[in-house]
Amino acid sequence: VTGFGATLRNELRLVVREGVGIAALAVVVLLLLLAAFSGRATIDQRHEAAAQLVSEFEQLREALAQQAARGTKSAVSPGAVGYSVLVQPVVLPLHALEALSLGQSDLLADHYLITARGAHQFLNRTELDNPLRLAAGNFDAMFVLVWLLPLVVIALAFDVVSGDRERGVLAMAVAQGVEPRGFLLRKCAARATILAVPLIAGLALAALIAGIGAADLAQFAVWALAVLLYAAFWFALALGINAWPRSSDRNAVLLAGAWLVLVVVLPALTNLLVTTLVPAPSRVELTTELREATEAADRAAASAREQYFFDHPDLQGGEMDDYAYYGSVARSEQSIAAAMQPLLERFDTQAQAQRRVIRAMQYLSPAMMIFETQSRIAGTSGERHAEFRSQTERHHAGWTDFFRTRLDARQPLGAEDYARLPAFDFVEPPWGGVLRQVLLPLAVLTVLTVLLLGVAVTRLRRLSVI
Amino acid sequence: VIGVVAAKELRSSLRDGRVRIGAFALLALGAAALASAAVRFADLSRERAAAQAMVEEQWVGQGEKNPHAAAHYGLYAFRPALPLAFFDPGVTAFEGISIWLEAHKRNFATGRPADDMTPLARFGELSFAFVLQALAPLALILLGYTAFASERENGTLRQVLSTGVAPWQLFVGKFLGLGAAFLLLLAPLLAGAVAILVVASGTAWLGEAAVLLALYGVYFAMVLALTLVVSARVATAQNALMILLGFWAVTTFVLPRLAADVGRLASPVPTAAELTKQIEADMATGLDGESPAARVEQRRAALFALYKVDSEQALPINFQGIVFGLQDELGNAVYDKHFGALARAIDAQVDVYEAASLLSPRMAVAQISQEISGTSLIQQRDFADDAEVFRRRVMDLLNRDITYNSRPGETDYRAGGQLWQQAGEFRYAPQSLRDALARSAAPFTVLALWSAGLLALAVATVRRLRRLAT
Repeated sequence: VTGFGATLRNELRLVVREGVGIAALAVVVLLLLLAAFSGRATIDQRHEAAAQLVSEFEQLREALAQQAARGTKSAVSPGAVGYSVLVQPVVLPLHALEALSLGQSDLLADHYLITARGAHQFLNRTELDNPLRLAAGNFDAMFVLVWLLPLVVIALAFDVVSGDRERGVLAMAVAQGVEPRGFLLRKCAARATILAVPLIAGLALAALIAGIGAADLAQFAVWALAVLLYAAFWFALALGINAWPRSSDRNAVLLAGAWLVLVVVLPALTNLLVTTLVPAPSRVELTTELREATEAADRAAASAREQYFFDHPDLQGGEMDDYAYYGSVARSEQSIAAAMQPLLERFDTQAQAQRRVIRAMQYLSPAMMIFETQSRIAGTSGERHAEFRSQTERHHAGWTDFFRTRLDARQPLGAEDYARLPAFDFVEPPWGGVLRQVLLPLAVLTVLTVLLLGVAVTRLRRLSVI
Repeated sequence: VIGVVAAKELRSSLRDGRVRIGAFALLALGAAALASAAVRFADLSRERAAAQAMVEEQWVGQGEKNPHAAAHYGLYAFRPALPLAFFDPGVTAFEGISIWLEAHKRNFATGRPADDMTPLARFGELSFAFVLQALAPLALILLGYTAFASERENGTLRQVLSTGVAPWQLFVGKFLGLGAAFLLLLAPLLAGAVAILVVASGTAWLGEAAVLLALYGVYFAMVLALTLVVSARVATAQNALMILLGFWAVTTFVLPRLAADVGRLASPVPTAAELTKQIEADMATGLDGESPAARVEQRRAALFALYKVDSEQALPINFQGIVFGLQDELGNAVYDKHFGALARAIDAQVDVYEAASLLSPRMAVAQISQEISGTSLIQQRDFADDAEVFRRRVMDLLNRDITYNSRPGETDYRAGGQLWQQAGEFRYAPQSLRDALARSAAPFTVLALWSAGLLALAVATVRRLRRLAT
């Protein structure tokens, strides 16, 4: 019973005989693979949908360019094309790791459909989904790892010391002249190995299933490291609790309590606190304001229309000419957008403030730290989406400008204009920056783990064996 | 004898330090959930009612317009915040709060509260229903997992049984004692919840509240019975705890997500872009192979024959109104087709979810709870359907006004406040308790099955208790 190999074999036998822990481990690894498979299917669907949108847009652009070359009226009118015919899909590129941590990606739009009309027209788009599913939450690798992995660690480690004490094994070993601390440390190392080997294998398999390629290996490495750190934290916590002489079921209750507090209660309370301190602005107000702004713009457009026919009595009873008509549409859209802009910005600032508070409060719970870290690495964080929105809005301003200048100059669109349409390319926040942001939580988690291990090891020296 | 056992369990539970800490934590969480939800609900309910009133005022006061311009201006339907949403928000955060009712188009509800959620909300929002569905059972497990197991481990179980106490008396006594301890702990929260409900909405929802109390009572009794059975049958208290915690974690957290996800993979919902494309295609070609233009021509010919005229100008009605009506007729059929398909895809997902709830009493309880609270998926859809019926009625009214009250070709025809007023006000009538109960037949069956199974298990355990005592 002195070598590590022998201890490992013993522990393996013990764990298999007890059953619960090893069964839980097997189930969680299985769920992890299932989640990776489902995540992969999800992002494959999204890839396909985005590719479809882009290809349809390209076809339309080509068709319009050909029509413009022939001088077709609807294709040369910058107003008709910009304000009604041409809809450009602006797509947020998918991260490979998204398959493993979907985060908010099922709630937040992964593409916007922009026209020269105001930003309020596309910013509030939502994808169709089953509300019951959304309310239940994502079943992704992140869920399995953040929620369930700690339970497995607890099931495998809650009695790592207390079990041997209760069974009298510890007293017997000491009687045989084994140094108790060394014995226990080897035992803990063996349990950690029993946990780590299937977990690492599971993570590697999950990466394969999720389709993580060589290009994403650095991201995946940090992601997986964070998972292992998180598991290590729970293992260290179990050891720390075991370092006090208590019964195994007492330990189990304490650890289950810790899990409940750290994984379920604190995140929920933090969320409650954040939404109370920094409430989101009212969507109802957004709706009523949009209505008032639209009505005001319509009135202005109607009087402009009257003015137009007053100025052009020869056209009375007919149609406004294309440039005049879309000029008035453009002005309406501009005035609505101007009225909506401050409201929309308030949503952005509040969301930003919420994210700031959460960033500061994540240190309350390792579960929150890991959740924040993993969604950042996988590109499903609120920050990246906010970046996508703001880049979309900048691009949209250019898109509108493209049509507006030609409209104002009464300059018809030519085939070459269709080749010059502004393109959207999402500029990823640099990986270095992401890495810097996840460094602190990971460091804090490491320090916590090391502290807990330190406490456990020091206490074990003075542990009573019976 | 039962009374003695029960009193002993009650006393020792209340004396236990762990139980006190747990009770305090549960109380604090429940109170936090209740208080924040009550405040938020009051705000929401006021805001939505005000918005609905404002939109109606804007509609009636929109001045003189061509009815078709008014149709494009449209109305909004705001989803009312029902009083019990503070208790169980259900899926309400994941459905938009308002629907724009405009000409030709059935719009989706917009402004999902979930869009403004923090990412942490996906961990589970701390609603009172969550406290009752997820956290309270854990408290029950911690309260009861030692009930038989520890007594067996230290030999008192055999002693007690040898004094002439019948096994069933012991089981029932422990059940009642622990149940009483748990209820004492929960009573202030439940009273608080009922008080908030009465303050918010008077006595109108007390029937629902009573059903909910009974539902959660049955649920807690099931969890306690399961805890006692496992405690009696499993070798050690420690294993009993592990098994119960595993059961709790799987049925409370894993199964709902897993079932929802399997449902999604099995019956995917079309993307918004796909749906829009299909709708546009059907609008352009018509549904039955007859183009919309041909249909207009047919009607024109029929009307010319009826009135024995040969031009629109000669008709006694404005044909433009008929054209709008025909457009809407097609539009309504197209929207029915595609919204129906979408609803069926989601229903197929819900079927998977309901099937999975056979394995998880928590899921069954959650479904009934949402149904009774008026926050279920079906009731959100019901609201949208009601709003659509209202939209069609208003559009029909406006089209008829153009047809019968304006002259042929009169493009500058104006109608006024009187017509807008005729459109009426949209008021969503929440479904009755009876409907909610009728819709919950499946989850009620699940609970009945579980109850019967647990009862059988409890009886079998009581029969074997003497043998299990050693």
